[in-house]
Amino acid sequence: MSEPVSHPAGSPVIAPASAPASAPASVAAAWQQLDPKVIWLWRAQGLIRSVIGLGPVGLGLLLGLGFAVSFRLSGALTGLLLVGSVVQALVWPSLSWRAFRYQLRADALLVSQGVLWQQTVAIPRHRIQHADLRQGPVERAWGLTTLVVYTAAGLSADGSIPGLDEDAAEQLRDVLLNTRQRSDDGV
Amino acid sequence: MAVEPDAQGWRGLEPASLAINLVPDLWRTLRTGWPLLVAIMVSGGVTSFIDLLFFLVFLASSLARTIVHFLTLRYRLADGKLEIHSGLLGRRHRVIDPVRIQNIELVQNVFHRAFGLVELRVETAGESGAAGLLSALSLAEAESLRAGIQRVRSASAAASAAASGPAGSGAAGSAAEPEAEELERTGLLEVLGHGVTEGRAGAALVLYGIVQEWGPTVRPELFTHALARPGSSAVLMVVFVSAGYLWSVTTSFVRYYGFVLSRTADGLRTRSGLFTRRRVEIPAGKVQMVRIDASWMLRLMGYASLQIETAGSNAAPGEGRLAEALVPMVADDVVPYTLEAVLSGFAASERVAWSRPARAALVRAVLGGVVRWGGALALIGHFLTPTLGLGRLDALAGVGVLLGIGDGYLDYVTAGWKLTPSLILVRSGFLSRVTSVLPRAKIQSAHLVQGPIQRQFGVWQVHVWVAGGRVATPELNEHEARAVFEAVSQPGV
Repeated sequence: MSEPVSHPAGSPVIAPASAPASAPASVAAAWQQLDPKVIWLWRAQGLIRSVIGLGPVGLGLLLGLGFAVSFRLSGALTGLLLVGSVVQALVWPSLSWRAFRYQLRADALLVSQGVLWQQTVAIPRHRIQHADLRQGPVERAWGLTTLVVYTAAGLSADGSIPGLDEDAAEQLRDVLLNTRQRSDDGV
Repeated sequence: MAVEPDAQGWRGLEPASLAINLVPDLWRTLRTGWPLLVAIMVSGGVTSFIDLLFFLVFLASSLARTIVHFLTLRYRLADGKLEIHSGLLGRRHRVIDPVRIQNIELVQNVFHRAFGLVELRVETAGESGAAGLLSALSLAEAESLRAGIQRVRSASAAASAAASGPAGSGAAGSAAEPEAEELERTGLLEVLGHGVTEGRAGAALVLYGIVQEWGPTVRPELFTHALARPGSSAVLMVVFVSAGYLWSVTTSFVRYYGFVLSRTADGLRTRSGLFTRRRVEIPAGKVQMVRIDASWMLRLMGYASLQIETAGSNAAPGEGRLAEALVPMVADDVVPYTLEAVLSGFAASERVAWSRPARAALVRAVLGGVVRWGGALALIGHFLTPTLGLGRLDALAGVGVLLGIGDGYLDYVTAGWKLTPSLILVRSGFLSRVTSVLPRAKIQSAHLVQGPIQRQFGVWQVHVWVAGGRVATPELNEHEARAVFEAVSQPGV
């Protein structure tokens, strides 16, 4: 596989839609990396998740174990849990960013991701049923969007590309939906 | 007596649907409200007016739903589309394109049969559960609707064929049941045999473990003395396992009694059922995948069972997912011919030359076997050792390790894959051998995956998704896995 190309926000993120169908599919486009801004977006999301998700657990651990055994022990364990989750929220996104890349070929969309469990998904373009652009409040603050692609196989078989510039996400979605052959969706 | 259509062609359900639908609806309502019912039972049964009120509310809500369903459900086949209108407060108007229909199911439970009616379920790939459900039609009306849907499908297929060149085939769709060529008929002994192979021994053992562990605590007067007798645990275990087998044999008998798989001009058709009779019709070209289950018990009997999957989800409200069509027992030597009839591109005369998994996958398979068998026997030993005197726990776990090594090796030897120009075939498991066959033209996406342990062994897997499910290749070396991934990522063949 070729080396990924990092692209700044706003620059074209897709291979030309006019890539000749007769060209070898594997060289029709280069691998793209996400905008590095997404690392800080993921860090913010991770920290928010840590606070919301681990807050009650940490409090329960602190008080429950504190009253039952000792507050020194419960404090140490809770501190360890919080430090671990903060470190994870700060470090993991850069590893995920390095592992994440995608490629729009003439025949398929490829998405490669995963730090421990690595996975490359190939979705033939003519199999795409529909595509969503999703933007939560934190993504909105960063001006980034997630493109989610659906096939008839169901949610677990679909691909998503997070951290796209809003314009680029719309452009990519339009290319994916407009260039597919609608005659056969495989169902 | 058929319900007459109104001026716009809308038809309603038969009046008998009020009687037919009430019991199933009440059952579903009671099942949904089971926590409340358990609370009432635990608190001493229906002893007060409040408790009785809960039951009356359940009954009234079911009755109201059944009446509203009968009064508001209207359907018609117009302008080449099946339209279903229903609801009083929340109204729904659904339009289903017959070309998108994955399968049609005609179901007759005992109530339907008493009134000479049938339930018609239509499935698309769009959502879980039936996309269209007409719960009480006369047999003639259901046949007429099925034929109408088939006429639209045939017309659409003919139009597509005319546009693309090659001549297409398709039945015109008559109101009479289409003529069928019988492919498989399952006899009574075969149905019972299928039940034996489906034996819920595992579930029965878990239940036995729970009773053994918590019985003396919850009901000491019943269990303490009974379980103290020598050999009583073994007897109890045999009772549980036998009950598990009896249950699955009975279920199989009721569900697959009189099973017949046929091929019609429209596609495939299955019929089965003792009390509730099911007729499933799968239009031609809608088969997404076929799974051949050949567990060790089935192989000993010389049979396999076939699951035919479409993109429909086939889960009625409150029911678990079933294969769109399951052929419970097919003789070993007939399996290739049944596959040939069900899947275009499969040639029964050609022997499959399986490709092997990577050598490194052997270690992973053996480790997996050791964990499975060692863990299972250690658990069984935990329950049995005190009463049966089977010896020490570690000795039993040791036997489990040896069995695991053997099972892991046999799993590795059994695993295989094959790519033909039109099909993907994958085989896995020794004790529970499963072979999946899917047409490459149906592939929705392909995944090249590697977990952290697989990375240590340098092996990869390719997962291939179709609309009816997925298959995973055995663990392959990187070069092979990437080649398979590239091949299956290409547009449909």
